[in-house]
Amino acid sequence: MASKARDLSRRGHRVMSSAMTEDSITKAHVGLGNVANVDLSNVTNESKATMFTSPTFTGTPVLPSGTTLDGAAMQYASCTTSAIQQSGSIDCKRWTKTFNPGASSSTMDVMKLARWWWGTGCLMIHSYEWYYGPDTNYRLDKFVGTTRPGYSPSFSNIFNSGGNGPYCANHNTSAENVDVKLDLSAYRRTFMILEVWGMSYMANSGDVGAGNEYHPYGFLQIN
Amino acid sequence: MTSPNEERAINLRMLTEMFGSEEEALEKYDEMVAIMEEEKVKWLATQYQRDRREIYPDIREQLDMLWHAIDDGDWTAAKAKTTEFYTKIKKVKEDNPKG
Repeated sequence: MASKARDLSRRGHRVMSSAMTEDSITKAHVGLGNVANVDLSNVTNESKATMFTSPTFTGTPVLPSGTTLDGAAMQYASCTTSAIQQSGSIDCKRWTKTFNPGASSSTMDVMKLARWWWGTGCLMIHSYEWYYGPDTNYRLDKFVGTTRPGYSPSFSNIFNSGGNGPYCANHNTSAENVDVKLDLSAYRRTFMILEVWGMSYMANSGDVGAGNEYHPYGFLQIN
Repeated sequence: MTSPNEERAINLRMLTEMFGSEEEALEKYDEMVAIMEEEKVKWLATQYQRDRREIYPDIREQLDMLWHAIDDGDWTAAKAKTTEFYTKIKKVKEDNPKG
């Protein structure tokens, strides 16, 4: 029999539907009626710092669709980090940019490019063009030649369903580089993808020359 | 234009990337430069082909010109060289001669 001193309901506590004493508190009394096992003996001694600063997941965490671990929406720009764009290193990268000339035709600067006469690496350019109408165009061009004096750097068309493609201009035989440009027709938007294998990305266009190097103007790296 | 010393330095850098070690690049330097000089001669000798390729009419247009030449009755020994198909192709070749 419980003593008066230990009867909690007589010490200002809310009166429960059934008598609640220290000796008879159940899961239901503390809002855990649906919990199968309130025994904490299996919980390891994790600190808050370990749990929330550097958690180790043993299962498969699920994030809301379309978000990254920092909670931001996924976007191409999230890949554009200095860690990925290692200036001067030879590797394989893809870049993208959309050109929109508006009501007037114009010429866009695509990239600065240099190719030594050893000619390592490969540059392919995909150009997708669309219009306010039913037709869309796609073409694939490959860079050929070198930027050394005496050579004629150019693009070789591999496939063309129509539309403008990239071309070489301003071959600088002193700096041994060339400008890649694209002529845009009025109201025709062009979405371009550069695929560059085995060449060196240069952070500054002025550093492109006498090597297998390139610098795209205003492109976003996508992988 | 790069100086001979710069040229050698860049060649060595390229060869080191190719072989994975500067030692091997130095060992193969003369051999590789000779190979690349040969490749350069071959490349320049075929420049006219690449120039022509960019100027030739689209293959669909060429086929259309050919079809019209046949349809008009001009695809004969006497008239074939007067057709648009022949004259356009011939002009590209003449404007970009071999070597």
